[in-house]
Amino acid sequence: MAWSADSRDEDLMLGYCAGDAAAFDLLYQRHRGGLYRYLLRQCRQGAVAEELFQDVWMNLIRARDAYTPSAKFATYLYRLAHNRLIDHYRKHTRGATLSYDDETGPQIDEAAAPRAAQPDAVYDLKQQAGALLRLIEDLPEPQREAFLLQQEAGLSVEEIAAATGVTRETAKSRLRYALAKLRQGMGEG
Amino acid sequence: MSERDRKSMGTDDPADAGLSRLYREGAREVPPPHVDTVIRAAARREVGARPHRAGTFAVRWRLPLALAAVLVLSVSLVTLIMDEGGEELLAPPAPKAEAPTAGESPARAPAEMKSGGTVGSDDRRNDRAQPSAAQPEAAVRPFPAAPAASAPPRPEAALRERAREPAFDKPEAPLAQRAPAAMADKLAAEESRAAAGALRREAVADEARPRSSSPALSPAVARQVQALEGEVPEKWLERIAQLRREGGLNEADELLGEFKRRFPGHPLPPDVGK
Repeated sequence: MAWSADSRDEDLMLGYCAGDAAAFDLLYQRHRGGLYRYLLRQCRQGAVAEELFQDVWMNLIRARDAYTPSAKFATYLYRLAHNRLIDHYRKHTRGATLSYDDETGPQIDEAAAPRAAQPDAVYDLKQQAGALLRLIEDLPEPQREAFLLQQEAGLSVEEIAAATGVTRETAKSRLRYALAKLRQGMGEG
Repeated sequence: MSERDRKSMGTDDPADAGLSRLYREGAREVPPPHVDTVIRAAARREVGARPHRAGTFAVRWRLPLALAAVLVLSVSLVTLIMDEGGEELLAPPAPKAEAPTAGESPARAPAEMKSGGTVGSDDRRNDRAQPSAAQPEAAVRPFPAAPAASAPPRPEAALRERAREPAFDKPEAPLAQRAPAAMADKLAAEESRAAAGALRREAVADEARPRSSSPALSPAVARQVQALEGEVPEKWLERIAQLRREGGLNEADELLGEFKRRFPGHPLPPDVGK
């Protein structure tokens, strides 16, 4: 079957399940960057991100027979990535793991002081982008994850909730907090 | 995040277009190429290993072809066995005539049972070991008796007995050296067949050979020939030598001529050949 840029992710995955490696190539090309950045921002180490990234795709490949297009493919993929991250955190007993159990997260006032908020600074776009990435790093992990899932995977609040295993309201709350902190950090809040 | 993804997001979802644009500007990391290579290779390898992918002609016809090959081999094997006299092996077993003798090794019976020996094969072995006079000849001989076999005792009879001997007089091989029962039966059948074939050939040669005395013989020599009918060559030679010693040279010469017709190529002693 000839796949095109208009082909849906779900159809591509089904095509791969049926044995079409070209479908996988297209699917991988679409999501490789977003998934890698999601993992990189979450674990903050390039080598670890590569390992996790590879594991997630391998899990997808191995579990392809169990795939059913009941939800958006990106939701399924990032659910795998979320679970892999949780395993990674548990294995390395990071203190940040606990923040996954904190549904609301800290109040906006408790956020780290915005590094890029000097009043006399003039930033060009790249500098502002760098500042934003640093602010994202400082976000609590659940909020950072919600923001990254929205930006990298294009998931809605419903889909973020499905991917991370929380209620819609929790996901929405996390996302709202994250955006508020980032706006504040960038001097817009 | 693609345009379609953005459209799929809920309208009431919290979002900030400025932050999104700024984020996309800064976040451009991609996985290293070697990771891409590993993952794509794994994906292709997994797909290549899937059984349902291999829908080629050979795979689709593997089972039918294998069954056909097995069928052809089986038919060929059965035909070959039948051609070589294996009908004995395939024939239903004859009723057991007698129990195994006490002289048989006790370890033999279980070994034969293990090797798939049937009652019939046991019987065949017993027959070979102890040919009983009470048993009919057909039970001893695997093939119908040749016409010449019922003739009165002749030198051929001795040959026939010798031909049959190897099947009966072979000493029992040690148990470890003994072939499985089926193989032993096969060998015995081949030996019997060889002996029967030799008998048949002898019978044909015997029919072609002049049996009665030459009509040109004198009455006295004809009587001698009749008296020596069925005797071994040595008897004939003794009688010829005796005639020579007694002075019946003409009779001895006639009898010698008849002897040479009946036993061409048989070596002659010096006193008879003169």
